[in-house]
Amino acid sequence: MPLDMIVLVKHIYDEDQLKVDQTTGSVSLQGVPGKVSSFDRNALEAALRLRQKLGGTITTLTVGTDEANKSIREALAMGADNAYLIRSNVATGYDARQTVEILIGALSKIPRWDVLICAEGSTDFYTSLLPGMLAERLNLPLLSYMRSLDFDGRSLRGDRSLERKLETVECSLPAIVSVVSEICEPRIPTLLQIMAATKKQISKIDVTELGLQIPPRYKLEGMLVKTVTRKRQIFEGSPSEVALKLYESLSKEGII
Amino acid sequence: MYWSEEIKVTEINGRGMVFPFRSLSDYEIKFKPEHEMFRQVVREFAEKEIAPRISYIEEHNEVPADLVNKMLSQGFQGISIPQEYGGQGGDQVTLAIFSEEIARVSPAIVTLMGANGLFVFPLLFYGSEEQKRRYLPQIARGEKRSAHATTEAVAGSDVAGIQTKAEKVNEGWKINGRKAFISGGDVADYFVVLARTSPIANKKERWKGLTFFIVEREREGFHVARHMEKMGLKGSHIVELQLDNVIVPDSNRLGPEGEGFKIAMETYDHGRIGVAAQALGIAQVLFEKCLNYAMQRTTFERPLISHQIIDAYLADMAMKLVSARQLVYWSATLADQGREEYKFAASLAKAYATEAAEWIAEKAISIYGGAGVIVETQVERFLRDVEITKVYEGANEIQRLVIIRQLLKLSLGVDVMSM
Repeated sequence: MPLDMIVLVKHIYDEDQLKVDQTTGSVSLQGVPGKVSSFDRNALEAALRLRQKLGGTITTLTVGTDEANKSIREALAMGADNAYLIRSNVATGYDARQTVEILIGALSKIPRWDVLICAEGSTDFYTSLLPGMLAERLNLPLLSYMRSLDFDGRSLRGDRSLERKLETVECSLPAIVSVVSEICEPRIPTLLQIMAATKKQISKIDVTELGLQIPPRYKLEGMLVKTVTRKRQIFEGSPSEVALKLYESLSKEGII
Repeated sequence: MYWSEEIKVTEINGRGMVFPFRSLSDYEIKFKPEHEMFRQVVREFAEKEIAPRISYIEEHNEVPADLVNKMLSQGFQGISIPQEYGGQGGDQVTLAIFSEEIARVSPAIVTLMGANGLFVFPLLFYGSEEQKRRYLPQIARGEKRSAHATTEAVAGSDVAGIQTKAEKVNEGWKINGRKAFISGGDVADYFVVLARTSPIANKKERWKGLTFFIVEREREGFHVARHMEKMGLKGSHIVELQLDNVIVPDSNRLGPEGEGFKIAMETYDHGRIGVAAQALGIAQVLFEKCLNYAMQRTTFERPLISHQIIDAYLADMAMKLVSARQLVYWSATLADQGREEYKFAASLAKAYATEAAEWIAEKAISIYGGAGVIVETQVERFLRDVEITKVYEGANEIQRLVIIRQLLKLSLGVDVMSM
């Protein structure tokens, strides 16, 4: 049975290219290039594999500025059929609660869907709050931290990745699914797919069209790097000698 | 003076800074959004799939089969094959980007994939529709591999001097000869082979009388004779091919009889930018590595980069690297615009980029010092790889001749050979 899927794609500042002021330790986002939030590619790949097996459509949904078009094109190149950009002017983005309200507003304007797949967290602020909030507000079941996902015609089913075990869960449609990166390796698009993606249409809805009033509840004052100083101790000797020295050092520090 | 026309001199003087072209826009480099997207995708593939396997490839002179298959299924063999034949439909800028980003990690793999272009181009420009449909889709899909067999032990730059002969027989053509230095000849299923079909009439016209034939590996009398050990490009193999009374039907003849030389020259024109980009990738990665190393390595209680001689080396590297980059993508832009002048630009790019990369590779070893010759550091392998780039696909000595011939022909309509 084909599935009509929505995949959330977030355009984030590339965390590998942040600039840090050496003296103050503050992080600057000025001129930092953007990219697709890493685990969103896993979410999209999971959707692509389901579509390969069962048929259906994949529509990506992104809340962001026009900068986000770059990431949306990547998602289209990977194989998404349609894409929506909920356009905003807020460069620093919204918090999870605001994003959830915007998404709900946007979803009402999008044709019907069976399952919404997203990453368990975005690789910039990584609050991991969105999937739970979204499911609660829509009153839909949530399969979270999924490391496998399948659909047998009646219910979605897969394994949840918990700290020390895997939990097999299932639910009926419609549903929200959040995935962990272990679910599958995202594909690398071919040149043909990239060229096709540049021709696909990205539907745009301006955030003001949704008529929402959701003032932020907190303000980001600043970002500082956390420095980790390494002791750079080298223990030499045979494996058993080294093991003993390491044990002594760690217990002296109170770690063991 | 040979040419009495003062007009020619005026033409040179009259054009000003844009000579040998006509306007500033002739020097533009144009990129499209898909070029950057493709670049990032190739970069990711190279870093994720190829980089971890380099030690193995260098040590065993072999690219693992699973990696080759991954590249074939990504369509890397079909980048310049048009979409109508199942290829990716990439333009010259795309091909240059592909070559550069892959060469940054493995120059050998650029040759492994790129050598196919020397079979694909002649087919695309001179093959019949039936021939194109017979061979190109399978190569595009990565199901078959291909190679180009012109060079012989007795004739490299002197293409007209090849000794392989093809004579007309009832069943088609009978080919006899031995080819050397054939990249990918060990794995190719299809070859284009250049043979002499009419004897040399006179010295001035020795380039006439050559013809290309498509030869499938299974043809009786065709076999890989010898593998040749080489200094660099480990993982890409070169072989000698022996043709003993190989019979092919006339439907395997590629292009008109006697036109082979022209087809060969055009093929090399088309492949030139890819090689320039291969050298560019080598230059790029070495510059990055040297910069990195100079920032971290301390000597005489200061970072290496605080020493002026090192700064001078790095600055010279940057000059050559960026100049080479401009030449490569400018010539690719001209080629994609369908302009004849691209041949002049491509020759500039190939000669310059390969020599710049060699200079940079040599200096990289100086900057790294003793660590530069250690295999583990992955610096010395680029010097070993770069040497052949100056020699194949039109030796740089020949490129210098092409540069002037093309310049005079295109900008002034003068054929320097008849002066």
